Amino acid sequence: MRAMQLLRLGVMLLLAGTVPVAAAQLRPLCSTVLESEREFVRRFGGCRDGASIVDVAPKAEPAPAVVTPVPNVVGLSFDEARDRMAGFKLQRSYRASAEPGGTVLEQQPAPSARLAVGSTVRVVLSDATLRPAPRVSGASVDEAPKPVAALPDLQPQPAVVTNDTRAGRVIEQIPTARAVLPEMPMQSAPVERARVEQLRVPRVTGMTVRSAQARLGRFQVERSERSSTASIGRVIEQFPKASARAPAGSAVRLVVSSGPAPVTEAFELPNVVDRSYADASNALAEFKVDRIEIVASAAPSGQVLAQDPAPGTSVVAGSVVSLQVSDGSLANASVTAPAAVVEAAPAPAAAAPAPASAAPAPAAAEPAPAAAAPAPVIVERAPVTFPASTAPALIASALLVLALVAMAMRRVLLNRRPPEIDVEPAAQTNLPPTAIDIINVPIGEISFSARVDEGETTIEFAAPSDADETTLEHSRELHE
Amino acid sequence: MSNGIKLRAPIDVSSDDVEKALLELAKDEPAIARAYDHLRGPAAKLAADRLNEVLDINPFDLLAGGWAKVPAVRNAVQLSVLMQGPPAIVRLDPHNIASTSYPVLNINAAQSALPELRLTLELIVGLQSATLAVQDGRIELVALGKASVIARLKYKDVLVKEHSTGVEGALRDPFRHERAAPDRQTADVDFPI
Repeated sequence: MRAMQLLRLGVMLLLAGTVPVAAAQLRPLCSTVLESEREFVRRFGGCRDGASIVDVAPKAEPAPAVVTPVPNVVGLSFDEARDRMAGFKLQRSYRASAEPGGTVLEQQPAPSARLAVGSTVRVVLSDATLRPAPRVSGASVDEAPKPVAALPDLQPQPAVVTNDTRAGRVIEQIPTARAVLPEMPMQSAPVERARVEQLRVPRVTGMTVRSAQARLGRFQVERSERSSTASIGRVIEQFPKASARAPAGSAVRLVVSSGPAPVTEAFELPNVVDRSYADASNALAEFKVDRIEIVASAAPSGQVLAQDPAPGTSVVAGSVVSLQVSDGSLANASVTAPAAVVEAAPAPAAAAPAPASAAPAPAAAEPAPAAAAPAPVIVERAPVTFPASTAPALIASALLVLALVAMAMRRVLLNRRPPEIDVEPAAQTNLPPTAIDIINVPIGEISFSARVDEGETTIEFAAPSDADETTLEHSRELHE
Repeated sequence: MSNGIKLRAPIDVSSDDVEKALLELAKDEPAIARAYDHLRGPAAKLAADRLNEVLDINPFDLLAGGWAKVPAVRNAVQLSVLMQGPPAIVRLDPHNIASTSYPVLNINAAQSALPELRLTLELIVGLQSATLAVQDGRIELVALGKASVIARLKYKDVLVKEHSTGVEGALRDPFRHERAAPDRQTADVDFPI
């Protein structure tokens, strides 16, 4: 009996403890209840809260601040600066300045500094309480008061100084232009006035430069040279002239003699056509023969075929003269071939067909004697004017002639020996085979170039010791 | 008139000079001997022109090379580089300056180079006196006393040409073309050597 009571009590206690728990587990989660009804249902136990949520994911880093360079707003109005400084906070202050009111005079941080967006930038603005001084430097004293008069509180106070500028010109102003003055008149701004001492220019013509410089002590001396019959280094002219008055310190220009002028004499150009080159060079000794055109011709080697300028032209000494000179390469063929003046060029020997009537000159087929002088050539040649106005047909005929005589000339050239060269026969026979090719070089293709390789320079004194050789001093007088 | 003082005047190479030198060269070089006939006359004149062009140099450059060897001049130049001040005046008593250089003539025929003609140019200048003004590391002014100039052009030991002349003393400024301002351009003065 007692055991049954105890069992009944235990069952009741068990039910009393578990039923509420079981009932609680049967309630829906509050999160599933409509939000508008959630609080009401929860208050009366109609729902249960779920387990608390634990965020196990790592917390995200705070977003970095955006850093941008600070724009330059110095010189802008405050409104413009504010627009440009979008993203930054502006803190302004004012300073006395002659700039228009509200103009940004300074900013902190300085332009181009990098600053986080939203940071504060301090700008200093002009309060326009100052004003710029007018510019009067360079103006004459009469003109200077005009800009000053625009500011009635300013009174020019001229000061006279001796200077080398033109008299009456303002050479300096205090305060300087653009210097700031207070808006309210406080003190008159003095403006200096220049007056230049006028001196009489002494006469220095005929003197040496050094003496002239000494005499022109209070003037600057400018020097130029000119040819003159006066002795070298003597002053032949002066500007300003003697006795003229000039400001102290102004320049006096001296014209110094550089000796007699070169004589420029005109010569009549001699006729050197048909003369040898050596004769022509002698005849043209007063001129400069700067261009020599070597052309294949039946004329003897070295004979001048044409000249430019034409003979009889009056030209000054040293003028440039151009010559056209024969190379004599067609001398052997000229007996039968018509003479022509052509440019020296490789003859198209193989390509040009030889006319049946034109046979190679017999003389050319034979080897020429080594020391033989060029045979006199009888050529009826039309007068040649320079520059050669050779017609294309004439050139074509000359090329035909070249084609005809090419083979004969080749043999002649191969067997011809320099007539005046003094070379050992053994040396001739021992020539390397490659040297033979030089003989076939067309004359027109020879070119020259020159250079100067440095050597050494030595100096030798007649005096025995250095002490006697040289004296050293410092002087300004000799440095003109 | 020439623009300045040129060495070309005493060493005016002529076609005869070139032919003479080439003849000597032909004794050593068979290739020149073969081509000698083509190198004479007008060709030699062109060669002489080329040589004259490269000899168109300022003799004061050569003289300055000799003066620079004088201790007093060298010291003045070095000192002037270090110190600003008035020009140092160096007066040189009678002395001789000998300069040797080598004009070289290159000959090309049909795009082939023939042996070059290497000449020797000796320039011997005897000066009674010379006054140099040294400032800022350079010789700026030259006052020359009487001078004699001997120029020799040689091929090996063979004298091709020799020319001698005298120069009256005068105050000269060989570097004036570098110092003259445009508004102070001076007239040309030919050097009489």
